[in-house]
Amino acid sequence: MKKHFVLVAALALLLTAVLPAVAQDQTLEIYITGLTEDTIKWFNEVAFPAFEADHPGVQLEILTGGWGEFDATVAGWITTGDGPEIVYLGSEYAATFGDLLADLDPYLKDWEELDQFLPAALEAVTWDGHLRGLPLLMSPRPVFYRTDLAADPSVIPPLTFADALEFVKANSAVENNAMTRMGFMDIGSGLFDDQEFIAYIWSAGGELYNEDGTSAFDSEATAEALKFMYDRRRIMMPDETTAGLPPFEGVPIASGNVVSGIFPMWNMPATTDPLWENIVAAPYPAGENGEPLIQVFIDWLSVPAYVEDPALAVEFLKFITSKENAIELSKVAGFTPVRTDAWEELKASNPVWAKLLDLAVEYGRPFSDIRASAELRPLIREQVALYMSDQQSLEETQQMLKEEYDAILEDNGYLD
Amino acid sequence: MATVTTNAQLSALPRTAQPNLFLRIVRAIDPRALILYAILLAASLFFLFPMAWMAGTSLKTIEEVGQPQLNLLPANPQWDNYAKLLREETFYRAYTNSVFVVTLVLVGTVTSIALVAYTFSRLEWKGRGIVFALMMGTLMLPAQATLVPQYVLFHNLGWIRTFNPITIPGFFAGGAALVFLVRQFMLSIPRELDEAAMIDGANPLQIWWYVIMPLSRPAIATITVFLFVGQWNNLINPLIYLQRAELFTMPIYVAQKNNLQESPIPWQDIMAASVLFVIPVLVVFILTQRYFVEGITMTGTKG
Amino acid sequence: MDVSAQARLENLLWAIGTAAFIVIGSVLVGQAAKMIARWRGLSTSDQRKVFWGFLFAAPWIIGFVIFVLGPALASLYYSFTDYKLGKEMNWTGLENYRELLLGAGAQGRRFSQAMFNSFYYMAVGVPLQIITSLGMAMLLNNQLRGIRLFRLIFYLPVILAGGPAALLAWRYMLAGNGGFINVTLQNLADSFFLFDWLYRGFIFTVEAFNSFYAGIAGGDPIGPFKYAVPALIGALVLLSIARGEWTPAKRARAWLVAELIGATIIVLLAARALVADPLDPGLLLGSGALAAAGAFIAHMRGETRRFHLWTLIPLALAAVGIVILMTFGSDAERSLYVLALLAAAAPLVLVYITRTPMKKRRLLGAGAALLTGIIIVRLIPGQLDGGRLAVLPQYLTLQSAIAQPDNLDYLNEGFAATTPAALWLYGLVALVLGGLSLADNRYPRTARTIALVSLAAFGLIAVSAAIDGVRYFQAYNQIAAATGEQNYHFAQFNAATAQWPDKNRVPLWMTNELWSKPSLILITMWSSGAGMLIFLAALKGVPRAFYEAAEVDGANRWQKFWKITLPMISPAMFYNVVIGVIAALQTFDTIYILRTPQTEDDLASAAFFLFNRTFRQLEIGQGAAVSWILAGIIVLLTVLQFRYNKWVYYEA
Repeated sequence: MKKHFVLVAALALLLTAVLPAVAQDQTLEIYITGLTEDTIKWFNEVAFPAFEADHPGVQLEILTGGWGEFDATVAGWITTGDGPEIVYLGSEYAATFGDLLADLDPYLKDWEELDQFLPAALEAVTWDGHLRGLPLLMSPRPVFYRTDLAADPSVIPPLTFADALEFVKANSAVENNAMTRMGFMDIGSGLFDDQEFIAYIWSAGGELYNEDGTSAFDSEATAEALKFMYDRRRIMMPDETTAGLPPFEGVPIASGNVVSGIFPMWNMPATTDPLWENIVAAPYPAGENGEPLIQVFIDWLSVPAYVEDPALAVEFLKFITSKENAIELSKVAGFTPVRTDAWEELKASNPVWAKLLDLAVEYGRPFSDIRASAELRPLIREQVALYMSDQQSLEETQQMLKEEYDAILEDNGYLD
Repeated sequence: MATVTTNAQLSALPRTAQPNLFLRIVRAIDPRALILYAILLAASLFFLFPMAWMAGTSLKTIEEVGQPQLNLLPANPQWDNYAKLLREETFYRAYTNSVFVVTLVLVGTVTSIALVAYTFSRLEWKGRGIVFALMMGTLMLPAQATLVPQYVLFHNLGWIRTFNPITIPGFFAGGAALVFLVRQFMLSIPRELDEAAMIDGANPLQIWWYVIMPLSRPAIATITVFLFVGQWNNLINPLIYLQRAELFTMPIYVAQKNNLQESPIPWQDIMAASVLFVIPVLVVFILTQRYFVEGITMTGTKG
Repeated sequence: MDVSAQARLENLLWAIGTAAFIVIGSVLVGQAAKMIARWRGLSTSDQRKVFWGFLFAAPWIIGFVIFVLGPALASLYYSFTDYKLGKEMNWTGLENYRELLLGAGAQGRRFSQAMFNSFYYMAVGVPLQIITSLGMAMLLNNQLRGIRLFRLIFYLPVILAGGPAALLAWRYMLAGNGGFINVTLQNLADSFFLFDWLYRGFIFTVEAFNSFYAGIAGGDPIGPFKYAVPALIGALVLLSIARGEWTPAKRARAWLVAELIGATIIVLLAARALVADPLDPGLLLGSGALAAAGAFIAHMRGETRRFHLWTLIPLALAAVGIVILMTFGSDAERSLYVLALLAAAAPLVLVYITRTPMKKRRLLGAGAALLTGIIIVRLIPGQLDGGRLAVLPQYLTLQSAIAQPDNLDYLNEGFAATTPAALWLYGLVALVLGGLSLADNRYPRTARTIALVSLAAFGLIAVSAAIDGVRYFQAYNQIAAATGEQNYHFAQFNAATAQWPDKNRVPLWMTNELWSKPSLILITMWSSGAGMLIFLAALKGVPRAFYEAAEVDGANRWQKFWKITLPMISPAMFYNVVIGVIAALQTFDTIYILRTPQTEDDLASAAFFLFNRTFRQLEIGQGAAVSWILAGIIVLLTVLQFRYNKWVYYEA
């Protein structure tokens, strides 16, 4: 019997020795979230071969996943210091990851094409005064109004909170305790949206942070934003048990029951749809001391700090954000280019986009510098939901938001 | 006291005409049984309906699924929903990945569990009690307790974005409950068999393979089906470790279909993928349901 | 090569390598064990046995060390630190546990909400699940043609609910507007008057109940209500044992309930005491005394010569603690009191592990009762609960304990939800029951008298506390209205109960916080087939003769169920409850698939909170602490399971 064991053991040793012999090229891994099959195909079959041809011995690989587990996945990489060389990030992540992302200034400061990028977009990918990546695409998110459905189209667009409430009031209806017409639909079609809440704080003239870095949720502007959202909700939904709109086909704005709302472009009709003749895009209403604005979301590519030599990764960033590729991507994936020099073609061929881009330049504010966003998001959701559903007073809500966000900021080292 | 009917009593009964077929059927039916059947059928409707709705939806058009409607099956079944899925490369890949992972897990886990259960049931050795108690103790530790350090461990092994974290741990007799199940079964095999083999000069390994394993087939089958269903449905571990689309297994594929930011939600596609996802489990379950019932009742109430 | 094909190939190689590793490792483990056996002087044949034994056990042993023991120790260590990914790790001691258990700060609050959610799944979901599965099992326990097919159908959802597909189907069916279920309900309601009435009643009930629960979970003081609950439980248990003769079975049952309640209290108080800040000496002292008294009774029931030691040690420790506190009264008090408490609780824990046979010690029983009485009389009023239990005399005479309230502050402070007074009342129940279980067969009248007197006392407390609860609730609303503030805690409840639901009202299943938990419970009911199989096996084990005997005695169906079936299947019942409670804490997949951003917080179970903290927010330290709290609860439940049932386990 002993003999058998020796034999098996020898075999096993042999196999263990052979195992690590799977040879690897120099690969550059790129993590991009939420791409369609066609876009992945474009990367794999057009973009990558072109880059690989210029850089012999380099192999590109694309990793994809959903936004649902984005935080967890990226967290894993950063903990272990091992992950893709290039990570696709959402608009607010520069502040979240901060120094966990490589400082790309040494590689990019002298790049002449940098001027072509929308300044607001570059602002979004900067943390602590240093560039952390390059913007890949942007999505301006205005309020859309239906001129043909509105009771009084002449008031469109309402640009103050008070006018906006009037507009919602004139265009909403409830029958049998169920909504039949919504004057305004928020992006999640739910209770409220945390990104929208932040936008109203800004448009009410407030900021998220005080000079000293502490939370400014106790500000007048926050109170104004909260009250505006609450009043708007109560106009459409007299109490919390009011049911939503009857189901509809297609995108909400085309349903005939939604008069205005904030929607990302993927939840709007195709830009070729004739309905666009009756749709007006406008900035968010503003508070008494604020200015109307449009939230612009910048999706960008970053290089994590664990990457030992970011040079190659930066080469790829420059390559993929080049004018030609930006135009290509706008065609293949519908990405709106962040480079102004790539806009001409888009604007000329598409009046809807022309209007949106102009709005973005005039009113755009990037959704960025949101610190510890992974913890702020649930905090806003929890506290504002309590206020919106009559379970907490305005003062208490502001106080809780401020106290706990301060604690989070301190925990995460944003306050010293 | 049982009554005995005599011939005399029978003949004393008033003679009636032979009842017609309908009446005979009516009389044969036990009203109590009828009520029970009615309740059973109603309950079955509750348990089966989601499946039926899933199947029905998978054949509808996107316009149909977007509106309120009650008909289970569409007038015009869209088999193309399935054809579309089957043409999709990501679907095919997820499916084959799942089949691969499940197969490997089954091979490794079943073999190692059979070995470990054997030593806990048929071999006498000093320290067995302690090791066994330790193993049963791990049942109390919630899986989440070790999730994070395990992640760090697998990273150090270079296993992130590979199938290893999903398949390899099973090789170490993963699942104390299943070991316990097999052990209980093996305990019921007569001792004389081992002893006879021992006298013939067989060592424990040979006894395990030639004597115990053939007799333990029902228990092995039971844990195999349990493992199959558990692994086929497993969502959280693949979600944490696989991280790249090429490695996704079916549960992630299906769950992600739901996360797509599309409006209206393409329920017909999601349900078609769901149907194809459920079919293997369904087939295995129907073929092996005996083992399920035995496995649960055996570990659940005996021991 | 295709990426996935390559990954599979690599995985296959790893698998083969692992197999080889296990083989080599097993031989090494076996040899090592053999060497130790030789060193310890075992005979050659024993050495051989040890070699083979460990050889076969080695795959599990190696795996245990690598994948369980190592990671578990690491996570235990993390739980005492503020480890956050990308940040420096600092030792913070019990800080994580304190934050979580006391519900302090944003995370503590979110954790308590997750625990409240989990508790909802336990308190509402598990009973419904038990009823469904028992009902199914009883249906299937009939001799009918094709019954096996039905068994298959009833069990089917269990297999499917483990994966995302079936959950997605439910999600689609439950869609608030135009989902199959709501449209069907609406159509039925439109067609049948009676159904319409029932349907609206259902909506009303669910919304009222859930909004009330949300109010409580939101940290609202529910005032005197919390006194009513333990008193009511005590009264009900006493009622059942005071009726009829005083039999050993009843005594055993009284003891069982006492033990369960006692263990729960000790755990809750110990957890609180461990983390409480500032530490309330009275709380600890009293907890220690309660635990000691419980242990005292426990050991008088058992046959052990060291019983007096076990009880004297904790009491002595408590006494030392008091002396030290009086002398120094500094930080030292904290650890000492914890020690005292733990020492006091230890014997009871010990009793759990070793079930000792019963022996009559009537005299000592009386002594225990006396001791308990002294402890309660000496310690409770004004000391242990900030004076709350001083209201007991008022309750006993059916007077309101609420002074004329004039502002909300009074109410908020007066009945702070953290007051442990309700726990004390539970403790009292446990002690009375424990004492009763000592009463001898020869003195049935004494026992019954004790039971009846206590019953009357608890009944009175329950009734007056309940009345006060209602008064309190009204007062809250009135003051809120008068001062122009809103009753924020119960605004939803007040809105939901203000009027009968309109026509066309639909349950907003997944989208509304009042409906998200009921949706989840509906799905768990749908997939409760595993419990059904356990019940079915138990039902088949009930001897027919019992029913036949009962039929001879003229028992009806209902009586047969209560008197024969239920007692006979109680182990299965207990088992299903324990498993259900553990599952409620660990619910994950269902929430992951069914959540929306709006309902996520209202659905999150303890396990989901853990996932969020560690994998979404990278707070490894606190996540680890959550996992050990969960592990603690599960271990406790499993110990209970061990104690009251044979070791059983099943996998769904």
